[in-house]
Amino acid sequence: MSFKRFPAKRLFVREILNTRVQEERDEKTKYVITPLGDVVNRVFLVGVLLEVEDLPGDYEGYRLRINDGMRTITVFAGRYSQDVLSEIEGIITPSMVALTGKVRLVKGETKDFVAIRPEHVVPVEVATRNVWLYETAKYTLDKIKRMKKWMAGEFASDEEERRYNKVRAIYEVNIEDYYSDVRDALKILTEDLSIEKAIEDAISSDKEHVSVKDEYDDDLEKLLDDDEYEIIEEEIDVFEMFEK
Amino acid sequence: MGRAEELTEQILKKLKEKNKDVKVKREDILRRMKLLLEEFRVPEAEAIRTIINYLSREYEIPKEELVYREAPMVKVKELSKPGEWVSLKVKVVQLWESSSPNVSQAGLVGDDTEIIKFVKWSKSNLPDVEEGRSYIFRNVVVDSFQGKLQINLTSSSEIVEIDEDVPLVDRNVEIVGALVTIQQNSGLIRKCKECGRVVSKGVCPKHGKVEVEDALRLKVVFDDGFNTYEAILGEEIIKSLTGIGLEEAIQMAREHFDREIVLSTLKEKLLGRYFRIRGRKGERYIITESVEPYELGKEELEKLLAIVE
Repeated sequence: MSFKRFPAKRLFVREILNTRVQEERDEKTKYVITPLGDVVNRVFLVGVLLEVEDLPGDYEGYRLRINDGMRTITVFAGRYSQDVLSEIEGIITPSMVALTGKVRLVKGETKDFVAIRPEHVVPVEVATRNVWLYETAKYTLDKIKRMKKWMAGEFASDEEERRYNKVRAIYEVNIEDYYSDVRDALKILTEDLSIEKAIEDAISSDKEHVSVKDEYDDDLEKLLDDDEYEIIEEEIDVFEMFEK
Repeated sequence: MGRAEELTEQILKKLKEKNKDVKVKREDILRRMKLLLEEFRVPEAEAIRTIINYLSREYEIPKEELVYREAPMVKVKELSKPGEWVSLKVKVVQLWESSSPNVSQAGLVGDDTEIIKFVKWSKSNLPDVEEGRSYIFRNVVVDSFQGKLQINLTSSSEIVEIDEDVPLVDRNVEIVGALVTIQQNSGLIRKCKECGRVVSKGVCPKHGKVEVEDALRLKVVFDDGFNTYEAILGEEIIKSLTGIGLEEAIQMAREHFDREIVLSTLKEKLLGRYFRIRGRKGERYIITESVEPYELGKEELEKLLAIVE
């Protein structure tokens, strides 16, 4: 009944990286469907910002690599995200950060992948990361339970059934992978790490290191050309108009 | 009174409201109504329509003035789309200052399901409502303004004050969420001294060029991963969370020759963090009573650990 802003969903990097399908209900309502059948337009992620690299050539912006404790995701901030560029410029890596961003599917030259357009990137404390790990683990666990029900033919609605059929057609879902993320997250939580140790662990768990030239190079233009997603959410303030 | 008589009275009443001098014969209408309903067994709506068409032609009255809309009684939460005509039993939650001469009153009304904005148009010539009182609003039309549904009281509407005290939906909220964004007109801002509205570029939306005073506030969005909640944080809460109150903010701005430093400092301290918010849900914003930093509790973690593996 009111102005709906897409919630920032809590997802582990693995689920985002494995997402390959997007749906559009109308001009302004686009979202991806993850292997666990989640519907995502915006994401909230807390992890270690491992590094910030300048984009190659004439491209304005940066490539960020963020690790959630288990896996690393690459995020591009380009010319359509001026506010975020200055936020990023103020961060010294490596650093624990909270990222809010819009998610969309990009059809690349050789493969399709999910891109996140950052809305905010801010340094945070390890306490924030801990709440995030807990929330994301809990949410992922609920989705795993739901997926099991779907596999057994139990649907709470027609929409759930439709979504499951789509997931089945596109993905080969290995529930155990997502369950291991939940376990790993809880393990990190029980260790109750200091921020320094958390950052250290993330760096050592991050095996791959590919420079911007080698990764996404052919698709850089598409990744940065995000103006179709530049929906400026309604700021007109009815409350303000009538404020006493 | 039989149904034919009832409907005849309704039509006559409508006619008299709009056209004091039209001489329509009651017998004429009643005879036709009886014929349609009892002889030909035509559905009521059809009968009414037929008679209205006849009256419109016969007495040269525009049809709109004859149509009697009996809008069904619904709960606020049931309103779903613009164009609906409904009746509601509500309490007036809040009255606002109207900025337009076409609007005689505006504000919030609600029942035990939801709260919604209402607009009473001047042309309706309806009596004013009072905050805290309950009413039946008959024949109001729903429309959408800036993305939100609202109800409109027009010349087709009726306001009936009632003794009954309409209970309001429980609007107390307690949320744990991340502060995911800070919206425009936040930080060290200037408020109009007359009305308190935010003044941008030296101009108050209501009072034009006016004396201003400094204020500290943040328009934020809290997000728990499922729902978003907009809230306005005032000076007190900002100070309790960050140590920066209005004094400190003004000082900072002075030292840096720039007000922006206040907003960027507050962003640094608050964005991306988790909070427990307690307050009351207004129509769009949460009116915060307390906002406290939130940390993961041992019991919660243990509960989750017990389920996994």
